[in-house]
Amino acid sequence: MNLLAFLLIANFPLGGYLRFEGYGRIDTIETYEKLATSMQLKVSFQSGNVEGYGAFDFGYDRIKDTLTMEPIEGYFSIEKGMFDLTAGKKIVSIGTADWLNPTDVITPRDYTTLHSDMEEFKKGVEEVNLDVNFSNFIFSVYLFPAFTPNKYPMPAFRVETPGVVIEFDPTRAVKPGKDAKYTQYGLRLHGFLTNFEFSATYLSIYDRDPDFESKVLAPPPPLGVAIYPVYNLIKMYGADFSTTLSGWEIHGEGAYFDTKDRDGEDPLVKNSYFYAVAGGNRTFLDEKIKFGIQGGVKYIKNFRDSTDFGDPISGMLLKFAEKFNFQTHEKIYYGTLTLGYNSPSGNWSADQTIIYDYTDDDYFTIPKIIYSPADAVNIVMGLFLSGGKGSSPFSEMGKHLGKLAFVEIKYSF
Amino acid sequence: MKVRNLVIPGILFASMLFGQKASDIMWRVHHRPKWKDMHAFMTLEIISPSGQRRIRKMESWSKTNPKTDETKMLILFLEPADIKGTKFLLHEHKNREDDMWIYIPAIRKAKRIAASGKAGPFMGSDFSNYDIGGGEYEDWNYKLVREEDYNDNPCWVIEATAKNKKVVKKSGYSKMVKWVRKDNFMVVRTDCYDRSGELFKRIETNKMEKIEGIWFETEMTATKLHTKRKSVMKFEKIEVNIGIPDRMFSLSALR
Repeated sequence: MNLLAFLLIANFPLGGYLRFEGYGRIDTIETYEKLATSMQLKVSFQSGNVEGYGAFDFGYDRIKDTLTMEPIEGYFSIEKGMFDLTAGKKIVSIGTADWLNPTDVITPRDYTTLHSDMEEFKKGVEEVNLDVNFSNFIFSVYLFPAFTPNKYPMPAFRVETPGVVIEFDPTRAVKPGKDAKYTQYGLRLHGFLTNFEFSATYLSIYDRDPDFESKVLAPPPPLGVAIYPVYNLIKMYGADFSTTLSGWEIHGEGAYFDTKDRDGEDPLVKNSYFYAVAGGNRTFLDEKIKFGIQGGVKYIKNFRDSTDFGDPISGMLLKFAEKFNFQTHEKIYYGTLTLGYNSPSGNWSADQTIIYDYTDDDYFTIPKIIYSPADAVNIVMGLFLSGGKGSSPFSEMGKHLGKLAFVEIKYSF
Repeated sequence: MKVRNLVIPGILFASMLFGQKASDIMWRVHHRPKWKDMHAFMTLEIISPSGQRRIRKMESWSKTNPKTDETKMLILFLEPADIKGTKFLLHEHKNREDDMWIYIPAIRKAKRIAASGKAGPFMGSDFSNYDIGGGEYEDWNYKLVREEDYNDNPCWVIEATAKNKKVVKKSGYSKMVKWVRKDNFMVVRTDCYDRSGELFKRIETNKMEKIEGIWFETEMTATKLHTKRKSVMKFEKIEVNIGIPDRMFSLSALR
């Protein structure tokens, strides 16, 4: 008997969705980038004070000719008095900001597959979480026994300049080991006091985004340098808040990241940095119009430009690392603008959020129209656009993906 | 001359008397006895003018603080499948804006909602969040318009006018006309007037039940009079005074 038949016979509360997605480039090259059919199965149960939840993805992408079978989440929670204990693979989301979430660094993302919803890039992380519930406060302890990095399309390459050969090999990534000593942890206090919700979070985790290391392969001439990703331990001191004021929802979220390179001496390792976002949302015309605006800043401690390094190779390495780590300037300013419209009939809506990097003059946006012809059926049509003039990951993404149009048809059950 | 001197004060006195009576009636309506807590399943059917039906199913828990008369409510959405698991938490306050959160399973986060959304539609239906949460007695001026039978039940017909623009903005209504049953102080029909004073919506109580000595609307219909779109809300499997723990309405419930 297969698993699905067993679950149906056992009368498990089985849900999920069936979806078709088509993505195509609409700029200079007109090609299909994704033609995928996928299904997610979700199982949830509650038995006494024990709850369980699981989500499993199955999919096939005709363009990449790839078959996906992946557990997204699977965890159990036990409630006993003021304690909640959760163990398993879970998407852990924290923070109050929209789209740009400085503190939301626990859950890894997979950016190698296209999605129109930013949340779908997230994959569960193995965790043991104990919550201690007081009347208006929750104190949480997290343990993360395993490490999963964010996935990026990082192709290997080789660059030859006079006197130097640089090779980048992502398959040689150095990840934390599987020993217990590599266990990551976090502490969080989340509370609510008269219209003011806040949290403070401390994390000691391995950075989901890579730093890099270089190794001299051959002495000059020419000088051979190999670069490969490495995942370093970071400490995050974060806080967030949300409140309401005169019809507005107001929120803010910020964190200081203590990295391996506090002094900014290694061009391939992220400097310690501070990152904060604040803004608000409100609706107009009886929730027909949705409006949101945010501003953000990232301050890179001991920032050094490529020219600040004495040798040209360090400058080249810094330029390479910038394409992945967003540390392109000492201060980077961001803004996000969200506009949404819900039709009076409730059958369709339009939504657009744009993220703009003022410092690099780069952008990222997914404008879309959602049409719902029947309950649980949604047709989404939109554009997936990124690019700009700078050297931030948004413009890198634009160069890699181009400008895309997409359509999704999804039935939830 | 003597007659006029008597008539004007008489009209004023009568209007004060009827105003006072209307206020007293509405005070009784707003301050009906409440259960300590309630658990129920709700079905919301949205019917378009062409007859297309959309059904939302929910489970709800609510609890009233007897000292402050403030209610906390948690709604879990069960159907349709694309919004299953969404939760709405309301902490009602008498002296400040209500606190509202919505937990969206897709983002695994609870988001605060500003009270400006109270005039907005409840789950895309023809009921507003204000209709569901109920308004404040103090926000309205009341006038007894007439007395008449409605569905064979003797009723007072009371006009409730918003005291100020803030109330209009919050509720979405400039005026409501309510039919209140004389035997149990239940509102059986409400005609709702929009910000410009135009009648645009009617809410009718189709069924009511007396549960543990307290009357409760178990089926209501809201009809948009211009578009003929309507929504029907039904309550089923109602349990009351079952000792719902406070934690059900805390931040830990939103996950």
